[in-house]
Amino acid sequence: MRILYFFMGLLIFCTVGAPDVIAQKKQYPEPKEQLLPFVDRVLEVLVDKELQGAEKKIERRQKIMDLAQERFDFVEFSRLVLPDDQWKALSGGERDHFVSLFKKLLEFAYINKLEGYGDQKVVFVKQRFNKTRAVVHTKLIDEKSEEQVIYLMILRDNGWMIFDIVLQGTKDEKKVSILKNYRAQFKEIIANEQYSGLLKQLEERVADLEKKS
Amino acid sequence: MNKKTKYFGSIQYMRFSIGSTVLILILVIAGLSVARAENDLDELLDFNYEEEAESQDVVVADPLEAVNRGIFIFNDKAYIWVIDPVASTYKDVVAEDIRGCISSFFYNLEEPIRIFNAALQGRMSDSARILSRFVLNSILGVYGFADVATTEFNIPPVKATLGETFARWGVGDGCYLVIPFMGSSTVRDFTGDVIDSFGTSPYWYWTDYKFANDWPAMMSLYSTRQINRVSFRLGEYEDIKELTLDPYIAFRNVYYQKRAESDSN
Repeated sequence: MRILYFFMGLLIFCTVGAPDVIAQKKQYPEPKEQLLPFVDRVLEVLVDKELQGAEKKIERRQKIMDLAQERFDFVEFSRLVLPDDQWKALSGGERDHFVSLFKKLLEFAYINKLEGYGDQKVVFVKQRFNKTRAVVHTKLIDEKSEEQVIYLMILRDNGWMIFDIVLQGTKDEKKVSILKNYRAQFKEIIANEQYSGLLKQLEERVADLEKKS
Repeated sequence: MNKKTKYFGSIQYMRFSIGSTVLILILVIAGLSVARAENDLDELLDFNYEEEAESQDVVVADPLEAVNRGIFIFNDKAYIWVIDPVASTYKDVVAEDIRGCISSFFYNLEEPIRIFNAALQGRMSDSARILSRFVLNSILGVYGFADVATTEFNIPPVKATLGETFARWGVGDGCYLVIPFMGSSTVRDFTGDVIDSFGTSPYWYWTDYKFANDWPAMMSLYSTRQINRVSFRLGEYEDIKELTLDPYIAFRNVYYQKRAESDSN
C-alpha cells in the first residue's frame, strides 16, 4: 500500500511540483525583476539634471546605449528581423556588421520613444513566462497620458534579455511589434535591392541619425 | 488475521482506493489544464515568431502598390506642408482641455453609428453600452463636450465600425488602399468608413440633409475634426519616418498587424 501511495505522490510531484523545483534551480530572477530596474535606470538618465539640455544630448544617449547593451539581445533581435534564409546565408563577420548597424537604429528608436515623454515612470502590469521566453506588460505613465509597452524577453546566460518591443497606445488600441515592422520593411528591400541594398540603406540612415543627434 | 488486514483486502477498500485514485487523477488533470489555460491568455507567448511574422507579411494583398505609393507621397507632402503647420498653430492657440472637449464632442456625434453597427454585429450588450454613453454624454455632458460616461459612470468608449460589420458578415478585405488625407485602409474598410461618415452621419443635422447645398459647412466640420485629431499626435509621424527605411511598408505593416489582431479576436 505504501508503494501505491509513493507512486501516487511521485505522479503528483512530477506533474505539478517538478517544473517549479527545476525552475528554481536555475537561480534566475523573474523577468520583471530584471526588466523594471533597467527601464527605471534609463528613465533616470533622461531626467537626470546633470544631463539636461541639447549640448548634453550625446552624453545622455551614450549612457542609455550602454544601459541597453546590458538588457537587449541585439543578436536575437537581428536574427529574427531578417528572413530566415538570409540570416543563415551570412558569414559570422557579416552577421556582426548587420547586428551593429541594426542595433544603432534600434537604440535611436527606443530612445526616441522614451524621450517623447516628460517626467515619466514605468509601472508593471503583468508577466508570463516559460522556461526560455517571457512577455512583460508595462505602462509608461506621465501626468497627461499612459501607454502600454510590452517587452518580449529570452533567457540567456546573463539573464532575461529583450528581443522585441510591442507598442500599444491606449488599452483598446491594437498592438504593433517593432520587430515585425522592421522585418516587413527589410524583407521588401531585400526582395527589390538584394541584401547589399539593405545594408547601404541602413548605413546611410544610421549616419543621418548620428549626424542629427 | 486481524481486522485491519481484512479491511485492506476487502471490496470496500478496493472501491475506495480506485475511487480515490481516479479522483486524484481528475484533480491533477484539471490542475494541469488550468495552468495551460493561463498560459494561453497571452497570445504573445506563442513564440513561433519566424512563422508568424512570415504569415503576417501577406495578410492583405497590395496589387495597387504603385498607386498607393503615389497617394502615400501625396499624404506625406500634405502633412508636412498643410496639416502639420495648421495643426501646430491650432495647438498653440487652443488649450489642451478645449481640444479634448472638441474631440469628445465629435466622438459623441458619431455614437449613433456605433450603436447601429454594434447591433448589426450582434454585440447587443456593447450596443446598449454605447447607447447609454450617448444618452449620458449628450445630456449630462452638455452635448457631448465632456465624456461623463467614462469619468463619472465608468463606461469606457466602445468601438464599432461598418468595416467590422462587413467583416462579420464575411465580406473580404479587397486590397490594401491608401486614402488621400486619411492613410491606410482596405477596400472593405474604406467603403464602410464612407458609408459611416456620409450615409449615416449625424453631421447631416446641421446641413439640412443636403450635402450639395452646404458643402462648406460639411468640409469645415470634417477638417476641424481631423485637425483636432492631429493636434494631439504632432511629431509622431516625423519620428516614424526618420526611424524606418521604407515608411510605406512600415505604415502598411502597422495596419496589417492591427488587422491580424482584430481578426484573431
